[in-house]
Amino acid sequence: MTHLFAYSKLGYDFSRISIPALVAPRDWILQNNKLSNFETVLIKNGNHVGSSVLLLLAWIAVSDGRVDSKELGRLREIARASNHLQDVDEIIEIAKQQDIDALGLASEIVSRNIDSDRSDLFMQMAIGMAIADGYLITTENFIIRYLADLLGLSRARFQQIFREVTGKEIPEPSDPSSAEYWQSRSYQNGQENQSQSGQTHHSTNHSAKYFAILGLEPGASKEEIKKAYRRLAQIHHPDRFHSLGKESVAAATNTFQRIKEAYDYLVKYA
Amino acid sequence: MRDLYKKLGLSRSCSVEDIQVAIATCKNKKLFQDAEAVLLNEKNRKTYDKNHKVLTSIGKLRAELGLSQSENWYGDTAHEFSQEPNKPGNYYSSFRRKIKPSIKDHLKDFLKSAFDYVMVLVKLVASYALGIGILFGVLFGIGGIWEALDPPSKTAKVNNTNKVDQPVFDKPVLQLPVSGVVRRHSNAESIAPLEIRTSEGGNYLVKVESASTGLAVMDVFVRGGDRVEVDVPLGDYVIKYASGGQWYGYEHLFGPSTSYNKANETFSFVNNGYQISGYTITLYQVRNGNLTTSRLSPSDF
Repeated sequence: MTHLFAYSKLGYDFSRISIPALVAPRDWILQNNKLSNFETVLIKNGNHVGSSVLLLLAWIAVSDGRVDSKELGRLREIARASNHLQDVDEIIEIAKQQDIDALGLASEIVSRNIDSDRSDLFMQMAIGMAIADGYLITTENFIIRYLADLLGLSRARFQQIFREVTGKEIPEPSDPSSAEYWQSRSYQNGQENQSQSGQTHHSTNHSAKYFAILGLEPGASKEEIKKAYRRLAQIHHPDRFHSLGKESVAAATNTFQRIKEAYDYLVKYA
Repeated sequence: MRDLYKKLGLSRSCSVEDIQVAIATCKNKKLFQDAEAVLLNEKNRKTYDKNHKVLTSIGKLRAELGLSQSENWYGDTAHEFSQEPNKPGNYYSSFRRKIKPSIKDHLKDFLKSAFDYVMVLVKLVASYALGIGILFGVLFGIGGIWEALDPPSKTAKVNNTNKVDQPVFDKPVLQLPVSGVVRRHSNAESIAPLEIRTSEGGNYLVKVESASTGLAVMDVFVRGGDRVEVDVPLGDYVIKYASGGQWYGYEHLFGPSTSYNKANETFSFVNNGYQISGYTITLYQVRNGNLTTSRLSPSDF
C-alpha cells in the first residue's frame, strides 16, 4: 500500500515526520487515477516539459502521414539522447493518432514553461526539425504556425525567425483543396521530368536534396554553398539550445548533422 | 485550405460513391471542380486527407487553447477549420488535479498512515511482551528441567560432603561475635597492651600463641573496620589470624573461604623496668608496612 506521505514506509523510524507533498509520489498517482496514455508517459518519465516537446516534434515528423524508418530513426535518436527511449514508441503512437487531449496537454505544458525569452529559440529548433529534409510540406507549415501562436509570436516575428533560420521567406501554406493546385503540380512535374532527361540522374537527385537542405537552388556556386553552410551551422549549433532541455539539444544536433552532411556532399560532388 | 468534406456534408472516411452523389447535387461551381479534382482522385485525396486531419486537430486545439483568433491563423483555413471551444483550457488543470491530491485524499491517507503508525507501536509492544514471556518461560523451564534431572540439592545431610566432588558447605551462619577477647587460655596476669586494627570487608579471628610452647594464650575476634585493645601476659608470642566474611562458629570459622595467615615476626611483650612494651598490629595492607605475613593451612591454625 503506497502512501502519499513519507512515513508510509514506516519500519521503526518513528522520527520521520511527513510533509504533505505538493505533488504526490509517482506510484500513488499511477495506481489511483485513470490516466491517459500520454499522462502515463508524463508521470513515468517525470520530465513533463521534455516529454511534451518530444510529442510535438513527433507530431511534426509524422504529420505528413508517412512514418518512414529514417524519420523514426531520427526521433529515436532524439529520444535516446534525452532519456525518453523507453517512452518514444508510445509517444510516436500518440502523435500518429493525433490524440487531441495529449497534444493539448503537451501544448499547454510547453507554453507554460517556455517564456518569451526562449520562444524564439524554441521556434528555431522546431523550424529546423520541420525543414531539415530541405522542404516544408503543408502539414508542417500549419503546425509550426500553430506553435508560433502557442508561444505568442506575432506574424512578423515568426516570419523573421523563419527567414533567419532558413534564409528564405516562409511560403504560404499550399492549398491542396483547390483544383488549380493539383493542375499546376502536374505541370511542374512534367517540367522537371523534361529538364532532368539531359543530366546524370543519381547525382541530381542527391544534390537537389542537399541543395534544398542548405536552402539553395540546385547549381549554386561553391561560394554560396559555403556561406549557406556557415550561417546554418551557426544557427543550429546544439549548444545554443541548452536552456530548452535535452530534447531540443538533441533535435538541433540532428538538424545540424544533416546540414553538415549536405555541405560535405556538395563540397565534394557539386 | 478549404474543408471540402464539411462543405459537402461528408465525413473524411466516406466512400467514393458518397462523394460522387454529393458532387452531383452540388450547386457551387468552384466546389464542384475542387471536389472532383481532389476527392475523386485517389492520390490527391490521400494528400488532402492528411492535411484535413492535421487542420482538424489544429482547429480543435486552437479552440481549446483560445488561439482561434491568432496572428498566424487566417484566411480560408482559419475560417473553415476553426471550431467552438468545448471546455476551454482544461488540459493542464485536469492533469494537475490528477497529480495533485485533494484535501480529502490527504486526509484519507493521513488516517491510513496514522493507523499504520499505531499498528507498528502495538506490534512493537506485543513483540517485546512476547519476547520477555518467552525468556521467562525458558528460564523457568530450564530450572524445572534441572531440578528434575539432578537430585542432590541444597538440603543435603551433613555427612554427605565427602562423597561429592565439590563438598557443599551448608553450615548455618552464626551471629558474628563482638570484637574483643573471646577465649582466654591462660590465667597469668595480662598486663601488656596489644592493639589490633582491621579493615572493612572482612572479619578476623586472631590467635595469640606462645612462641615457645605453641599453646594458645588468647583468641581475639575483631570485626572488619574495628580496633580492639587487649592485654596479654608478658612473653613471646606468635600471632595467627583467620579472616573471612560470615561466621560459622569455632569449628568452621569463616567457612571454606577462610583465609589463614600468620605474622612472620615474634612479638615480645617485656617489662624493661620503665615500661611494659606493647604492640599495635594492623591487619590490612598498609604502605610502608613492616610486617610480613604468610599463609597457613587450616590445620596449622
